[in-house]
Parts: sequence; C-alpha cells; structure tokens
Amino acid sequence: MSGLRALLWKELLAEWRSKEALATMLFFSASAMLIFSFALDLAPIDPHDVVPAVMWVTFLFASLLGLNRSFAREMEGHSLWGLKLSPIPRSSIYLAKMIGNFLFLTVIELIALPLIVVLFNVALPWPTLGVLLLGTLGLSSAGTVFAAMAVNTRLRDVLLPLMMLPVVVPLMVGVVQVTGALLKGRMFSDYASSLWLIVAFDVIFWVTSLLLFDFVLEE
Amino acid sequence: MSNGQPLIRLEQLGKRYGVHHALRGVSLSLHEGEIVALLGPNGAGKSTLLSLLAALSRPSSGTLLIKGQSLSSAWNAVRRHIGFVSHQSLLYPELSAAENLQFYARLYGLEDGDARARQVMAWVDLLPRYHDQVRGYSRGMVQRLTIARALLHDPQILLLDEPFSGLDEAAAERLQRLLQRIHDEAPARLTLISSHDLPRTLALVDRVLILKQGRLVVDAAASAHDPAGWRTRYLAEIGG
Repeated sequence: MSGLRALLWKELLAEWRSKEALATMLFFSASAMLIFSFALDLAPIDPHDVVPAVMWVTFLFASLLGLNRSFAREMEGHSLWGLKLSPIPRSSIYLAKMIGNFLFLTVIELIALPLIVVLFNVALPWPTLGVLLLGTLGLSSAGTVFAAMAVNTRLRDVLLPLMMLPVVVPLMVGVVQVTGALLKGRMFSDYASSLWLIVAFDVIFWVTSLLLFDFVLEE
Repeated sequence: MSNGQPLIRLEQLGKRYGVHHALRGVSLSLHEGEIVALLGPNGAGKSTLLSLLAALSRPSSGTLLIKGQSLSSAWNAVRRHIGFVSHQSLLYPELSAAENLQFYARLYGLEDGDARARQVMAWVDLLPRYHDQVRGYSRGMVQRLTIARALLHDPQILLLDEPFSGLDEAAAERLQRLLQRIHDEAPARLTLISSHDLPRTLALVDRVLILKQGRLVVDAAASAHDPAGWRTRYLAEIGG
C-alpha cells in the first residue's frame, strides 16, 4: 500500500507541476464543445438526443490526450525503468496510473459539464454524475493498460487510439444510452441493461488489466 | 577476488530479440567486493547483460542467479539488492531532487527516506541543491544524482551502464573519483561498470570482461596488463 500511495502522490505532484495532461484535455474539451454547439443545427431536433453523444465523444478523445501524457512522462528520463527496478508489485503501477487518469479526466468533465448546460441549453440531472464516474472508470481502466502497451512503440500517439477505440465501443454505447435516458427522464427499467453493460465493462477491464499488467510491462 | 558464494552466477545465459541474438551462452560468476569492467563495442550485448542483471528483462535461455535466487522465483527480493545507473536518469525532471529521492525511498520501503536522501546527496556533493528541480541540473549533476538514486537503498550490487557518456572532462573526472570513493566506503559491494572509456574504467576496476557479438571473449584480472596493454588487447579482441 505504501508503494501505491507513493506512486499516486508522484502522479498528482508531477501533473500539478507540469499541468500537461490537464491543460491539453481542458483545451480540447472546451474547443470541441464550442465547435459542436456552432456546427450542429439544434433547432429541428431535441438537444437531449445529441448531447450524450457530443459529451462522450469529447470525453473519449480528451481521455486519449491525457492517457498518452501519463506514460509519455515516464519516458522523459526513462523513469518507467526506475519503477520496474523497484521492489513493488506491477499492479501498483497500474493502479496509481489508472487512479491518476481517472481523477484528471473527472476534473476535466466536471469543468466541462457547466459548459454543456450553457451551450446546449439542457439540464443535467444529478444521476448523470454517476454515469459519468462509471464511464470515466471504464475509460481509465482500459486506457491505462493500452497506454502502457503503446508507450514503448515508436508510433505510440497513433497506436493508442487504434488499440483503444474499437475496444471501448460497448462502453461508449452504454454510457450514451444511459445518459440519454437520464436526460429524457426515462424509467430505470428503460436503461438498466445499458447500465449493467457499463458495470460489466468496468469490472472486466479493471480485473483483467490488474492481472495482465505484469506482462504488459515486460519489454 | 572472493572465494565465497558468488553474488551473481550466469550459466549459458542467452537473450534473443526476435531473430537477433543479443547474448549467447554467457557464463561467469561475480563476487562480493569486486569492481568489474564490462567492455565491448556497440551492439556487443553490454546493455542487454546489465538489463538482465537488473531484472529489467528476462533471459531467453540459461540460468541467472542473484544471491543464489533465481529471478523468476524471487524478482522483488532480488530487486532490493540491485542499484542501477543507466544512460538515462530514471528521474522526474519536474520534481526536485528531494522529491525524486523520497519517492524512490518509499518505493523501496525505507524507514526515514528524507534522512537517507540527504545522506546520499551529501555523498555526491549535491546537498546544497537538494530542493532544486532536476530540470535545472547540469548533465554532470544529473549523473551524480542518478548515482545517489541508485545508492539510496544501499544495494549490494551496483550496475553502471556507460556512466561517463555525455560528460565533459571535468565532470567525468569528478565522477571517476566519486565511484572510487563509493567503492572504498562499501568495499563489500559488487560494482559492474559498462563503458567505452577504457582509461577511466581500468583505473577503477580489478577485473575486466570483454563482450563481442553477445559472447564473453575475455575474463581476466585488470592487473594482467597495463592500460596501454589493455587497449591493445581490447582492439585485438574486438577486431579493431
């Protein structure tokens, strides 16, 4: 546990000093929201049909920027070797990175939500926050392991989206459907199956990533 | 050379990357208190051998025992005995030296990380820069800080991969004196130095290993030749 705490402390401190991931994710999210709000003609359609997709596509691509930075930082002084040399379980490295990515993306989402409300003139009910956390957990769980796989490759910036985007399709379908249902005030039974899909994705990726991270870090 | 149980024992160790054999059947024993040079041209397998000894990668064939333990059965136990200095600093430039060292101290489970970090910073003459960000350090200072990081957990085995590379003459001279002092202060530690800088490395070591195309072609006492003799033999062995 002390290794995990140290790793998490380092993640937060390094990001606080550089603000590289937070700044790029925030700039991308705000720009994408603005572009969508001007590009989409919302007059003939219900904004509740559009906002969930706009929101999650923006957060998905913002997460790619943050995930790339999280491991790119370890390559600057090859500090990933320093972590691999240390007598700590490899799963601690995964957990610290995953929690860091989850926190950074959550911060960006919480800043972006008021922007969505203003730009698209929709009210976001409180349960949307729950879906946001579950979706962000899924993106961070899967994204962290793919970012670790991509980091040692020459084309890591390209490889991460190529590996991650097809895999998170079920998660994206689930979060868009549940967010849409919540915005329209639907009954729980209408979106329960999508919600279980999100939970299953989170659990499966979290557990398998923890188990496989040892092999991911090998060469 | 000690006659006791070797700290490191390699038997027919091999490492392959795809079809490329980086190491082929290397066998040797390294003992407590030895300071050993690992020489060879680029691509000879020096860095590959050091990364195997540092438990950064797994051998493709053969046996590697560190303190009698196989890496596959006791990776984390083995890692506690090893300090590694690579071409890269393995440090976070946006953090201060103090933050970097205290972070690594926590990863190694050291009780009083701050006190130990200050101690190793004093050894490498960087204590006045303890709270400065690593980004502001010169190349020579980063190299000394890297050695401080490697010594933080008082390892029994110190592996140095090209420690003099990229340093100017004054910084290299200072590093050479530092390595000598570190060895004198912990004479039981096994130190293995991979280098292209023959004069500086030979001045430090008591045993010389030469690798060529992944094979160990020389394993001899440093006293077998004078520096000029070693240079001649080195060039003859690598075909220069």
